Amino acid sequence: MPKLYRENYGKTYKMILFGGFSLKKSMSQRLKTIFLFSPKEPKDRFVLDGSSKDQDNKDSADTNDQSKQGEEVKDETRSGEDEKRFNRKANNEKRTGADGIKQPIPINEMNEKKRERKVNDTKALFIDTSLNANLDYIKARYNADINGDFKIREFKIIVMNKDYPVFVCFFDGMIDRLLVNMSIIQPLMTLSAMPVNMKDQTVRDVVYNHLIPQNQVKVCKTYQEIVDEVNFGGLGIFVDGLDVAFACDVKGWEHRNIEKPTSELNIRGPKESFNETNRMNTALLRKIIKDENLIVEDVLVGERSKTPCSMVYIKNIVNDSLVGEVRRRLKSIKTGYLRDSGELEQFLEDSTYLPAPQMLLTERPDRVASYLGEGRVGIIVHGSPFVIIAPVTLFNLIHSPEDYYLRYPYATLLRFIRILGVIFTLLLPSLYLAITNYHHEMLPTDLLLAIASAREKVPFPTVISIFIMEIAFELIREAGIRIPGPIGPTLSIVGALILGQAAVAANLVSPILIIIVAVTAIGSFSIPDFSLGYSFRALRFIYLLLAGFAGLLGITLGIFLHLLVLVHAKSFGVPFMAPFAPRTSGTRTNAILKTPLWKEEDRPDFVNPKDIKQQAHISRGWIKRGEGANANETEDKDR
Amino acid sequence: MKQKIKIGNFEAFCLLINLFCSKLILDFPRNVAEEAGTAAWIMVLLVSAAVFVIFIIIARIYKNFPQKDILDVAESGIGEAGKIIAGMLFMLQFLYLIPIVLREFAEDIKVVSLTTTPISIIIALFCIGMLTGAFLGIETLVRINAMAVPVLAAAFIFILLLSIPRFDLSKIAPWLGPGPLVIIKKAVPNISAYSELVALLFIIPFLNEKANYASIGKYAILVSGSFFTFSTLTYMLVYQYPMATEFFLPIYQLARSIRIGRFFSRIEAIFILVWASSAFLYLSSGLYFISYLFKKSFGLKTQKPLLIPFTILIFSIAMIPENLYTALQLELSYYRNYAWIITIIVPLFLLITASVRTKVERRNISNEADNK
Repeated sequence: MPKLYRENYGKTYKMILFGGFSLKKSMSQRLKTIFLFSPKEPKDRFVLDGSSKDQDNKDSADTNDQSKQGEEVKDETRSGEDEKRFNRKANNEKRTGADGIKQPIPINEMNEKKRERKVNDTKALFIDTSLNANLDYIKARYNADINGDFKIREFKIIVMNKDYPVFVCFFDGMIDRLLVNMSIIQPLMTLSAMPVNMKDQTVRDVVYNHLIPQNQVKVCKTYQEIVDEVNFGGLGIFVDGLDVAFACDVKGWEHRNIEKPTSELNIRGPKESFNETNRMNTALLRKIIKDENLIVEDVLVGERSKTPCSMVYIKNIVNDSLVGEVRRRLKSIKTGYLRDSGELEQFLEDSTYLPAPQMLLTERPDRVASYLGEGRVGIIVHGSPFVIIAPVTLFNLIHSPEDYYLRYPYATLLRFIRILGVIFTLLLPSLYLAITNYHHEMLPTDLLLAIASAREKVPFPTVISIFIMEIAFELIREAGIRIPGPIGPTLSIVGALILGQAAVAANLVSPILIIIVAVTAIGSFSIPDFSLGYSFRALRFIYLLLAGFAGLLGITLGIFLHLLVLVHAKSFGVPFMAPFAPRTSGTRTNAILKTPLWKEEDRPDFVNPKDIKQQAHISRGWIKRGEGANANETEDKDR
Repeated sequence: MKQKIKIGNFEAFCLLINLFCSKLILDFPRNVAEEAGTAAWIMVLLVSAAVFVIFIIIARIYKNFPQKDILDVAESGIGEAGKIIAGMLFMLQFLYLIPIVLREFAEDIKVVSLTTTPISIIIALFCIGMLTGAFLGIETLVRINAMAVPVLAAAFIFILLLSIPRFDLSKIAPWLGPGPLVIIKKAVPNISAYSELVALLFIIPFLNEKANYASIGKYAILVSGSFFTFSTLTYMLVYQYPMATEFFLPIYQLARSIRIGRFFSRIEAIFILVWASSAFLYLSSGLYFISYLFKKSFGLKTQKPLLIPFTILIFSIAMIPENLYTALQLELSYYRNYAWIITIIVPLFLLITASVRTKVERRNISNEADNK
């Protein structure tokens, strides 16, 4: 067999067998190419038409061509680098005299280079002293001729009896118009004419100190600084002759007011929820935690959206390494746009494929405040009414904010009911399937007969009918969310008819199955965390498959694998199943069962807070009697 | 950054309890009933006491080698070759035991609930759980043990307690069964019931509080000894001697006989969940130790690539016995008779050798210093 034919034959054979995958690739690499985003591979070089033929010939002629080509590309890159290095060397040689001593670069040449560098790098472009130059730049940068909401207002101010042309720029709709008129433009126009002691003051000082009666004014030296401010609802003020511009905080866009929470409803406790404005959210937190140690650390995320995010934590409680880790993760994110905390959650989470959320998203300021008090970190994203809490454990996700406001016995009962809801959501349909298919002996005879007689007329196997019902229910639930409000009742009627009556009447499913699906649905609604609810809803189908395949053994396998994955998982370094796996030594046991409020003395030790003690050993001072009071104080100190 | 494995005291304790007690679910009460008749529970008590004493001796000698596992001890006693030979011995005993236990669990599940499913499918399902558990590592495994073992133990105790109404003291008469000498003689090979004790000697370097390994071992022997004794006693009190040797799943049989009123007459359903969970935990730990011993013996950097080959090997070995009876015979006739030599005597030998060598070396060093 000639060499050329043999190699081409081999290549085609490989292509057919492995669908284009190279045989040399290991199994893990292949799996990665299927399931993960692979880093961009360098594209082939662009080849002119004339030379493409040669290229084709080359490809068909030798299977090693690609590697050779790769080497050529490398060689060329190398030669390019060599060329640059050579030019640099030549320039150095030019500057080096015959005696080998380096000649200084002329000042003009150096300035020229600096200017070129500045022009190329817009971030380092300094504000010009000429107002016209600044105006041209801003107009060009904002495409002012086509940008309808970008406004520029030119006028003059008088400083030390001299007219200075001025312009302000802003986005209409992003700013508070009244504030701009009354507190920026009016004072600049009128106050400038008033007699003020301006002796020994520069124009810049006069404008800054006397003419802008605003609480937040930033003096900007580069265009980028002022552009960032204007983009986020600020107002830029440029004055002729000054090499700085002033950015005033005049944000005044339309926003939602503080409303009741929509996804975390409660009867007892505060009824305020976050909205889409960052500062309003931080203020809501400050309103609850009146502590100067509450730190709001701002980080911008998104190269284009520059979404302001705020890390909030209580400095003297939270573990520094936790704050460091959150900061590191936040600052390392490189994306164009960040719109919501749901997106940020996906960028920050430890494991993408874990079937459970590793952060808690809440719209309740009281809940965030409570977690901050335990030594956790909150992340507020501008534009999102949900605040991220990290780290969390699985048990935090099945707690409801109301647990803390209700008396101990009721809250404990509610926790039990919720856990029952979780078990029903995950396991009830699969248990029904396993029992009816494999383990009839598990049921008492009367119940078994009842189920058997109900299923007598149903033509489908249980596994099919249960899948039909579960999928139908999921469809109704999904449609219920997406459907416009007025049509909602129609959907519920249709759903009730399909699920409740028609399916049974048509002998498609047994009435007991309807009860199973309904109880499962009700159980899933009792899960307080929206994201965890999704996780369990999805996993329910896997449990169903396992139960259909191997009965109780399949379910046990599912539980074992599920637990393995959850125990292995971490949220910002904190084991996801703490304080049970691993067992932590804290006295606080508010994980599954609620502890009485006065007993919650310590913060959860798995978050390693700086100060483990949350409240005094005897938190109800009135209960102290006689000498016990002193003894307890000593004990508190010892703790 | 390489993560350091940390195992808490309670977690290690639960791991040992599950390793010891999973055989209770399979056939332990019946086997001891066959050997010691009505005095089976006395034999179990004797075996547990003997293992407790042996462990105290092991722990005392082990004090000379803090923070070392048994393979490191073998290395310091006999050298590199000693480490490899000891590692291979321990690994092979696990490689013999795990497939047989896997086959027994699978066969029992097949008999009880999945009667029409092929045995290979049931074994494959167990293998999936086993492989995933071992893949995620010992830290995850011990944590799951710490979560599951208390629940499984509670379910087990529940079954024992509910059998009390059927107790009949006359069923364990004659109290000394075949006689004290026979009991003692039969007790010796039954020390193998605690053969998994050797696992504690592998995890010592991972313990959070390494000095506590002795108390972990002692408590584990005490608690599992109580489980062994009480479950055997309960079994013997409910089923008389000749009948007690007939049931192929003694505790399952015990659970089947429980009746509380008219409605709750099928308590054995709980037992299937307990059974399968215990099996998954046991087999995962076993596979982990097999690959760990191989890695440690030959000084490999990682053990994860070994897991799939070992799983395939275990699956293949588990398919060798023709039926449950052959698997049981492979366990009882060979493993339980001789495993104690590898898991109890060999560690003792290694520890004594290493202690002697260390002492000789120390004496030589001090003599050399005196001479100088």
